[in-house]
Amino acid sequence: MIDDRGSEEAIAEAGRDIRRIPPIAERVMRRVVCDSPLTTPHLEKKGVLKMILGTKYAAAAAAVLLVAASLCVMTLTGGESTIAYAQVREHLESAKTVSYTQTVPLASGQILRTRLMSKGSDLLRMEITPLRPDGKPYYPAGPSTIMIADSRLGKMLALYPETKKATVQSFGKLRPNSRRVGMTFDHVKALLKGKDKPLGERKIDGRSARGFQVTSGSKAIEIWVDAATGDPLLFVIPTSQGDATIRDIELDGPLDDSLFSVEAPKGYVVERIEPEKQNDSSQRRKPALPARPG
Amino acid sequence: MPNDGELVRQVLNGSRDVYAELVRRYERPVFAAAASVVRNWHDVQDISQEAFLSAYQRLGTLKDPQAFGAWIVRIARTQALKTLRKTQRQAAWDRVPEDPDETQDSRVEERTEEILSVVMQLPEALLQVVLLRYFQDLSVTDIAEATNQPIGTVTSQLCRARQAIRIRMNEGRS
Repeated sequence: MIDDRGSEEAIAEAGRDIRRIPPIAERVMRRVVCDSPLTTPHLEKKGVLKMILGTKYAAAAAAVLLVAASLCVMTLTGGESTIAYAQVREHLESAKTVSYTQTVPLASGQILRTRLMSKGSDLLRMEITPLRPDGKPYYPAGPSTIMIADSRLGKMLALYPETKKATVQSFGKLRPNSRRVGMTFDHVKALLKGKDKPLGERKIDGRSARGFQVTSGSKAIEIWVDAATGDPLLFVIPTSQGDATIRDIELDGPLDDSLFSVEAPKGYVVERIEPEKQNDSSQRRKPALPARPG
Repeated sequence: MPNDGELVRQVLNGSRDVYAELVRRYERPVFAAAASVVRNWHDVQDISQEAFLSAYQRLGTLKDPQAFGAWIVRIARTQALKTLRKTQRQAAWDRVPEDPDETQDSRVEERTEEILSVVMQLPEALLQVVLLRYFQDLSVTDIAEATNQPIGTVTSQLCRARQAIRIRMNEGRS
């Protein structure tokens, strides 16, 4: 029979045996940094995180961000069959600034909430807050990541408020230009000129809203606007995980230039990532594993 | 010493380097989980490495960051079972005898394997403290901080775990 002391000794002996195995932390971290620049994998599917944390995707990511901004702006436009819809489109096309809150359900059950601010076609700010499946934020203090892109300077800044860390990246050769963004804008406009049909009226946030469904190809989005003013109130975009929504839309609101500064605020530890490092494929190689017997 | 929950939150907020601390804290418990299934130290290392990478990529899906320890041990065990099944399938095809000279030093001790198989049957809360105490060699105070529990709770969990292990081991001998 084994007594308490005997069982403790046996476990301790097994523990000593286990501790003979060399540590793997360094090896794991090499692969964490080189292979998996993802800390919140639920963002991965949206391709957002790679550009926020990106160590090697910065240039492409910056372009995508600007395209995304254009897409979002254009999502608010389109459709021609009603006066209200045409008013919305006109309003959006002439808007110098736009800001809104987008929520996207993810495969993991979590929700990605992003406050997006765009000024002209060059400046973009995204405040990203991952939410639990019950809608509560992981970090009550605010957004976990703030991403700012300035295509005039070809720079992107990512801030992590809780840890006071920041990364600054250059777009490099893939710096987006106004022509490219403009083309995307036209492309989306063409998509939104799809068939539209009225969805009637309903209350949204206490306001009377008129809805439209705009179908382009197999994609049909809902656009709800204030019945009296034509101001956009809600966009519903179906995704494979459920409906993504855009709310709290503000056009031509004041957006101070300081919101789009790509200089890290005081108190942040800044890591600068150069374009050539981002494309260094040698960093992605897996470290050699010890030889296996047999 | 920051607790597991704090470390997980820091990693999710972009501090990738902090993940190294979680790896250091749980690498031995993870080795133990893998070694309870496979019988070769090299496989244990590979499985553990893959388990930590997999956990890192799925960190955002962890509902309770404080439960990182139990979670990573579970991932390692699942990973080890997959490897074992794959190895068994491969062995059935290959039927290549092992070279005793090459494998002798990398074999998990039989006694260790036996203890680990008993330890791994413990309920999650007890398993975590046992792994940290005996396999990571943390003090009771450090375990209390890492798991965000009072020292008295950790001591009592260790006592209950030893008792459960003793009963299982004696059952195995009778």
